[in-house]
Amino acid sequence: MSSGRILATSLSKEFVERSDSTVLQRLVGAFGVRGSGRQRLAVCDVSFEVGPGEIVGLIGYNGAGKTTLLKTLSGLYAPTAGSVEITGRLVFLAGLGIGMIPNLSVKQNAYIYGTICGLTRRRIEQVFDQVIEWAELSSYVSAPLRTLSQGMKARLAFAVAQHIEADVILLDEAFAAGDRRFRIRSDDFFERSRRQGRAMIVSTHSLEFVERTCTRALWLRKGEIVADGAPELVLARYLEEQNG
Amino acid sequence: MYQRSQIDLLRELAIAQYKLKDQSTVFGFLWSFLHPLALLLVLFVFFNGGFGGQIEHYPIYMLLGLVHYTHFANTTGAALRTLRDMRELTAEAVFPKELLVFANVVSGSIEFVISMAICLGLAAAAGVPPSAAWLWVLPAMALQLLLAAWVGLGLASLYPFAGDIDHIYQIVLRMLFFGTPIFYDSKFLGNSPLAQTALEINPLAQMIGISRDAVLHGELRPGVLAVFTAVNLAGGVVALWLFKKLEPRFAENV
Repeated sequence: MSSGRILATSLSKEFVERSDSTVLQRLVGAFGVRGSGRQRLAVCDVSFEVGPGEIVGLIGYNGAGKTTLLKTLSGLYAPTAGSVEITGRLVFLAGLGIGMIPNLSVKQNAYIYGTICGLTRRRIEQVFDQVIEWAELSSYVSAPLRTLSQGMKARLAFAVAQHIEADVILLDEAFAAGDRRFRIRSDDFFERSRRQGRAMIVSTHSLEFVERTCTRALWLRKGEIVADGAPELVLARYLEEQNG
Repeated sequence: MYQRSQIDLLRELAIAQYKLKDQSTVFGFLWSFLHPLALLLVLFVFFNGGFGGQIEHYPIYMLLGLVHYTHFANTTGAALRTLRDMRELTAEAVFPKELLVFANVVSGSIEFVISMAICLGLAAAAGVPPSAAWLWVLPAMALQLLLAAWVGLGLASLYPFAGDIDHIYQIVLRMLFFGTPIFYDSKFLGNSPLAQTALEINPLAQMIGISRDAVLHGELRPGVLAVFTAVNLAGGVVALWLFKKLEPRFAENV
C-alpha cells in the first residue's frame, strides 16, 4: 500500500527569455544571477495538496501552465518561489514513450523505457511477456520501433508504464495517442493506482477522462488556480466559461 | 547513492548509444579504428623522416598516443552535446542527468578497450617484446575514463547555457592535439619552462606517457599514476558538484 503525497505551497515558476549576448554573461546567468530579458510567469502562487488515493485531473487551455506545473512538481524545473514536498517515490510521464529510440527493436525499447520509468532490468524481465501480450505486439518483438504505428508505440509504452513502482505519479497528456479500446483498458491502471493509495495528477484535455476517472479536478488558467474540487463542479464551471 | 534501476538505465543508454553509432554505415564499428589508423598513416608519411627517426617503434609510439587522444576527444565531445542531443530525456524524464554523460563515456570506452587491444597486438607483431609491464596500460585506461567522465561532466553542464562552448572546445581539442606529444617526443619541446609546465599538467600527456613507458620500455610510473589519480578524483568531485548545481536549470535551457 502506497502513501504518496504532493504538497505545493505558494509555488511559482517564472521563465526569463534572456537577451545576454556574450558567453560569459550566459554562463553567469546559468548560476541563477538575474540578467536582462523578458520575464514570463507560467505558474503563479499555486498551493494545493494531493493525498493518497487521489487522482487529480489537471485541466486548462493550451498555455495555461499545466506542463510547467507538472515539471516543477517533478523537480525538472526549479521553482522561482514557493516549495514542493513529495512523499514517496515519484515518477513523471511526460507523454507515453519518452526516450524510446526509433532505430532500436521493440524489446530493446521496452527495456530502455522501463528503466526510464524506474523499473529494474530484473523486473522488466519478469513482466516482459505480459507487456508484449498486453500491447498485442507478439509479432513485433524484434522489429525496429520505427515500423510501428503511433497507437502501437503508445500501447507498448503504457504496457510498460503499468508496472511502475511509485507512490506519486504525474502524467502529462498520457492518452493523446490511444484509441477508445486502449483508454478502456487503461482505466484498470487508474483504479488499481487509486486502491493502492498512490497520489496522481493527470494533465489532460479530455473532460470525459476527468469525469470518469478522477477523484478531483484542478483548473489552471494563466498559471493560477481557478477552481479546485469535485470533478463535476469544476467541469461545470469550465464548460460554462468555454461556452459563454 | 544510485538506485538499482538507475544503474540499469545507465547500462541501457550505453548499449543503445553504442548500437546506434555507425549503425547506418558499411564498415560499422570499424570506423572507430579506421579514423586513428588513417591519421596514423598521414602523420607517419610526413613525420617518419623527422621526429620518427629519433623514436624507436615510431608507428606504435604514435598509435598509442592516437588511441588515447581519439578516445578522449570523441568521448568528451559527445558528452558535451549529450544533454541537447538527448533533449527529450533531459527535459521530460526524471532521473540523475549525469547518467547521460556517463553512458557516453561507457559506450565510448568499449571502442577504447578494443582499440588498445588491437594496438598491443600490433606492438607485438612489430617486434616489441610483451611483458608484465603491459598490464599498466589498464590503470592508465581506467584513469583516462575518469578524466573523460569529469571533463565531459563539466562541459555538459555549461553547454545548455552557451552553445559557443562547443566551438571553443573544438579549438581546445586542436590545441591539445598539437600540445600533447602524440607524434613527437617531449624532448622536442626543449627546455622552455612554459612548454614543460604545460606538459606536466596535461593529464592526457601523462596517461599517454604511462601507456608508452609500459608498452615500449617495460617501465612503470607509479608516482605519476598516484598523482593523477588524486587530480582526477578531485576533478570528478568539482565537476559533479557543478553539474548537480546546474541540473535544475537544464530542462528549461536545452
